[in-house]
Amino acid sequence: MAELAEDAELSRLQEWLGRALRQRRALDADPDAIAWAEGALEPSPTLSAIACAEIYRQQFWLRHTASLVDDFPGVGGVLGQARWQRLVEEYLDAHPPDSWTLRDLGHALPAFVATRDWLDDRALVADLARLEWALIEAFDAADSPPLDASAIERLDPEAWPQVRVLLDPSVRLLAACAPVHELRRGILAGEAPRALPESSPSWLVVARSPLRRLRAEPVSEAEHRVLLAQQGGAPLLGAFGEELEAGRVPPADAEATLAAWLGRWAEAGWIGAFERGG
Amino acid sequence: MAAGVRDLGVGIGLRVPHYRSILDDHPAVDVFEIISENFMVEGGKPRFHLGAVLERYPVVQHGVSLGIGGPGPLDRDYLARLRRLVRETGTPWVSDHFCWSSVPGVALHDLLPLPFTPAMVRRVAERARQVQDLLEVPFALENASSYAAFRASTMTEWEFVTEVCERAGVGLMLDVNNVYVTSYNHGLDPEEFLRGLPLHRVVQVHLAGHTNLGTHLLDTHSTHVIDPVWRLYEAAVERTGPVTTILEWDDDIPALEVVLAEAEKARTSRSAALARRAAVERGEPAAPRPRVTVAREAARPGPSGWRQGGPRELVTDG
Repeated sequence: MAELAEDAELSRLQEWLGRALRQRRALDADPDAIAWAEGALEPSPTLSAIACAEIYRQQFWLRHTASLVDDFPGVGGVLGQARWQRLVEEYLDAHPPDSWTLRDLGHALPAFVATRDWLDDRALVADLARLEWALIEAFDAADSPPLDASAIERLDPEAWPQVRVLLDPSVRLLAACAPVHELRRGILAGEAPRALPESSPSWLVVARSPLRRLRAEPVSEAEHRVLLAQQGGAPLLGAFGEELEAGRVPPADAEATLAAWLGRWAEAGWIGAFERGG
Repeated sequence: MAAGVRDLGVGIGLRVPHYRSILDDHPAVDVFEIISENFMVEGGKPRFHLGAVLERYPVVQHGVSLGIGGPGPLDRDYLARLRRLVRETGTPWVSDHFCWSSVPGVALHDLLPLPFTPAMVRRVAERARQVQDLLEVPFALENASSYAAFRASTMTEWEFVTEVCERAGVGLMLDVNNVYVTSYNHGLDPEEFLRGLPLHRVVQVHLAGHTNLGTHLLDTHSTHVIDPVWRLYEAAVERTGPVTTILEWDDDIPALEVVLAEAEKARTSRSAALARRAAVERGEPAAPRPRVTVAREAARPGPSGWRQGGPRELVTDG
């Protein structure tokens, strides 16, 4: 029993410090923290107990802010220093890191941005954050073997109505309110962020090429919808037919359009395999 | 052979800015150390680069996220991924730190100091044994740099480390720079610290530079190893015998040639220490070695933060 009590006491000590390190304000401005530190920590030869704890608190904020800066350069570029800092602080308060890897730190940032009333351009910023998170996911997604160039030709024509395209594990599909991929490229190239039209819908495919290069490519709404249907497991021809019926693909160009899409998907590495559905 | 593991020689930490040079030029390096977490992903560039390095070099794995002394249980998903990576790399051992890194539900991503108490010995030793059993390779824990010390501690750090290693039957990853940094920050004697550690359990040694902020040292791995740490390293190798040594450089990372030159200094120091050890074994009188102390110095510019293992490989295109 004594051992369990000792262990629980250690855990309480750690949990208190864990909470203190996530405080936004400096610990030496917090009387409760000072009292706790004086009771729990030894002063060093040169620093008070609270100053020792403060070293770790500062590192918590430096490390997590730096990680988000690395992963969301476009969002940071659009917001500027003050608004970015506010966003990061509010985000880390609302979504403390919960994974063993900093790679996962920004997973909830896109949805969080969309809830920030003080961001008047939040729809655009949220879409840019979605793009940047999609790039992170695509970057280290599972590898798939390269698609055999003759895979399409080998398909039995009678099987085509059931054929589904299995997308490469790196493929992420996004619908954005603006061409955020162009905005991001401009920011990374050092251009000052510029305002974008409020409404210029953009459909993007984020994926890793066979040479492991990441790209965000714009596609038409119809192509995007068919790709989404493939992710959902629908047969290719059925999904394409729906786009024809909806008038998003001109009937006269149907065959050529589908052939062009498949050629592009294969070349870009978006196709992992073809599968004959049941 | 120290602690029952092979001596792999002198190597460096594998860091992203050096990938191109390493893969193009194949520099003469005995062994690379990887930060396990940077490669515990499904695929893409990190795994491609690791595969290319594994084709030419031995690799040892070092982790920063286990948080073995934390208040919550060990992360089973993390351990399962780590185990898979261990199988893939063929690492002869795995190491992490004497620290805690999370509270339930929140990952703090730091190497936080442990209270050195019997209860913490029990907690860490039990988990270290579990990790070693799960990974099925020797497991070692590293003495971390620290900036705070708990009043609850009832033993010295070296007593704590010894207790855990002996009780769990695990190895010690001896970070010589951390011995110096911790000694400076807490007013300890680095020689006494070193002597008190279970040096027969050392599986690997770390060397690195730090930032001196005047009031305290930060373990930034951002610069050259300082002279007192080189001397401490020689004192350690005299006692351990030949042991794998890794030079870490994680911030303000210079060109690969600079890091390799620092690793060559480690090789020279190691050779000198081993020659001295051999002479003593032959019964020859040894000249007195200058004692290592932690001299208070004025602050020198350097990074104000530390990040273990250097930067993750990041998205740079798109």
